[in-house]
Amino acid sequence: MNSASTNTPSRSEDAGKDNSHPALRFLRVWGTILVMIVVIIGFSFASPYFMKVSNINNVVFSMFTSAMLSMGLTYVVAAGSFDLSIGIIVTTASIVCAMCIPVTGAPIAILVALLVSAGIGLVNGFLVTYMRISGIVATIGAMFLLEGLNQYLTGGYQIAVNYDETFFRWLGQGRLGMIAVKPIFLVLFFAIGFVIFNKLRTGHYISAVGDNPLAAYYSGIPVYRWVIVSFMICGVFCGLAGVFLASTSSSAQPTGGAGYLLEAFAAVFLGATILGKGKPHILGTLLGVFFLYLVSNGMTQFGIDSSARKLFNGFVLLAAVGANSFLNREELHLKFI
Amino acid sequence: MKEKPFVEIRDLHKDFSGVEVLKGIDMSFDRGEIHALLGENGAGKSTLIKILTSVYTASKGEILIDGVAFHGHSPKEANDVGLGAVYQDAELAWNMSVAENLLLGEEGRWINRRKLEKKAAEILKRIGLTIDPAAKASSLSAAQMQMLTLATLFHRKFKLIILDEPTARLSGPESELLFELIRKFKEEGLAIVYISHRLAEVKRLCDRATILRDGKVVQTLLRDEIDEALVTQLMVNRSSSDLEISNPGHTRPELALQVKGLSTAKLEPMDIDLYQGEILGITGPVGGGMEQIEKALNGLGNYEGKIDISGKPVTINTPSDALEAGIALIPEDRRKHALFPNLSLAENVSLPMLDKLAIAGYVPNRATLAHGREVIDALSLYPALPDTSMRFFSGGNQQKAVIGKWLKRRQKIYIFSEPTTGVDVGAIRQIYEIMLEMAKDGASIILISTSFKELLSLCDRIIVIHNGRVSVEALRSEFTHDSLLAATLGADPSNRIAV
Repeated sequence: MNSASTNTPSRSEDAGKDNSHPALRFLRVWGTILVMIVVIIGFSFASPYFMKVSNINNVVFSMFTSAMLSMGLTYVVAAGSFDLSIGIIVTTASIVCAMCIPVTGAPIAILVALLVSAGIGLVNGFLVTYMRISGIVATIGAMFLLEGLNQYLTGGYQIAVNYDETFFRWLGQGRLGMIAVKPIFLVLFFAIGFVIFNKLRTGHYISAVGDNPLAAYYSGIPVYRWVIVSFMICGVFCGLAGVFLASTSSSAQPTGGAGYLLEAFAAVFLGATILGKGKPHILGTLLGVFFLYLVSNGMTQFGIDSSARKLFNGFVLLAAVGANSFLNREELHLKFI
Repeated sequence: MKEKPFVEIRDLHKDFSGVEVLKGIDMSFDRGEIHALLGENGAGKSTLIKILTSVYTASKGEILIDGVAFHGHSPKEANDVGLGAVYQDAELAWNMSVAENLLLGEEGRWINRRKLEKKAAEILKRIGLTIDPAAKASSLSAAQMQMLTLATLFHRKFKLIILDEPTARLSGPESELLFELIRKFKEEGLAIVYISHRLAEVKRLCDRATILRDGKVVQTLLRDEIDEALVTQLMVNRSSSDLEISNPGHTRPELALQVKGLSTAKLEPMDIDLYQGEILGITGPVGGGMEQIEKALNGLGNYEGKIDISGKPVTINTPSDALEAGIALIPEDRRKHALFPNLSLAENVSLPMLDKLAIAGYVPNRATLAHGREVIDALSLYPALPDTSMRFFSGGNQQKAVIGKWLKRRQKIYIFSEPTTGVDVGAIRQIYEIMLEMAKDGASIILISTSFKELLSLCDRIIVIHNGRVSVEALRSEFTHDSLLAATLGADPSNRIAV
């Protein structure tokens, strides 16, 4: 074919759609990060202690559970669904783990807890695919079921982990020099999560399914399988969070992880605005959690009331997501979920 | 034929609840052939494609692929044997890059974006496309999306690709690019089924053209035999007069709608005068610009121009502006754009009437049911069950319900877009009678349609829009079926008839 004739018309097309102002384009990609940097610089000027390694260590330590849940949830949201049972999976995993330790020893107890968590993810995934139940409804159902189960297992009391379990307690309480073990594990889990999401087929297909399931189906991708896999990965992340939660407090609380659910959603949607991706991604999620915890830490240092912290979190989430969808303006917005 | 055909269709029948749409189709597609499928609306083209791609299953007859019978039950199965179609809304993953879309499903275990892009660039180069493999799918133009979809089908080794009005949304140069691509595919030995109303394209591109009429193959022409007059004659069915209805003329002297210099990105400035009681037909090839009028007058897209209704200037930016101004739309895709499938018939038809039915904000169930019954009686809707969910009604009765929504609202202007697609034959005449009744009551109607029979039996005046321009505007009496078809197929616009 005459390549000259095929070249010309499409090149004029290539200028394409994104002819918005360069400043807008810059804001879309870097806006959220810019705000974060400004806030961090502000805090580090106001308090010399703020940017110290020990303080950052504290922040990362305290955000561990939230970060794990958020990263797990990222997979499910990327696949186009919701998981409201993540908080309860944390609780269940920590209870299962704490109950198994006296019987099987710590390593196997951890394995059992992770298997149970993955199994819950499997069931959730099965419900939203083959059973055709919406993600919200299916995982609310799972949430109630697990809540009941947890109460039954614990009778409403905490389950203590024996003081002799040094390896198990080291996971959540140990230190390597200046740094606690838990933040190191968080970095490790983030690295694994990042590779699965960005470098492996798994994450690629999960994103494709969430983006346009019909296109994925026509491309011969087993859509249901990858939705289920996303729920299982999410389950494993929550299970790991549960194990470390039990380790940190040397016990499993009957309602340990419930409070983290909404934080995780905030982090995932805040993270989706980072780097202008407009869709959930692991790095964004982690930065989102980090930012929320860093600000909360900074405010605590200045004795700012927790009500103000909540106000700030709500404001940041709405402002970031709102500004982002404003910058990526669709012609007609008629989706209200 | 020396070689065995790639796909052969034998005595294919299809009926929908007793109405036979395909009445024994025999045809074949060869490798390396571009085969046009021509026919009027309702001739059975789309049903045939849907059977080929296993969206529907045939009632009788068979499809042979390389001499082996194929019975598919889902589009996936058709894809697996290499049959695929490109629909207007190309299926792409919008957030992914061109390369990721093109190679979706064959990335290997590890994702290496640079490698994917390199591989995609090679494929695109081989096909002769210059799309940036790293570009996001959502940033492509309509033409690029279509070509990316084509490239994807090609790369997945599809052997028969069906293109349904592929140039409808493309500009001239974009179409040329598409033709280059299609010829390339032909050289690679693919069979292409090309459906278009644009005869000039068909003549340039296709090796053979098969003409369908009333669910039967009339004739298959070779490229040299394709001729406007002949095709017209073959496409038109002169025998069927079962739906004969005519508009006695209810036009009144008062102007209902006056549009001056209406234009959009795809429509050159045009004027419309619409009188009370008049039915104005607008037709042309799909994507040629006639859809723009419906969009502009209902606030569904940007436009320029002046709109006066009953002598008063109005601005229409949203559908509710249009309603306020007295314009009601009966859209083509009623399931998506006009009805609430899980609400009852009564609730559907009461929706625009809620303010009148309400007593201090409270809408008694009795009132909506009574209103539903009134609409049922007025339009002889069947079954007469106002409490039944809309989705249980047939296409024709759903269409009546859409009309029923506006029946008591008494709008000044009704815009009907393809009012009889997907409507069972029995209900078509009833819908026509309803429209004539509305005109008799003084309402003005714009009928946007590609069915000539419909236009000729209902309209007082017809405008043909071709390539974004009014090519012909004339009274109904000045048109014959043949001249209307010729105008739509793109006959010389210089013989514009002044009114």
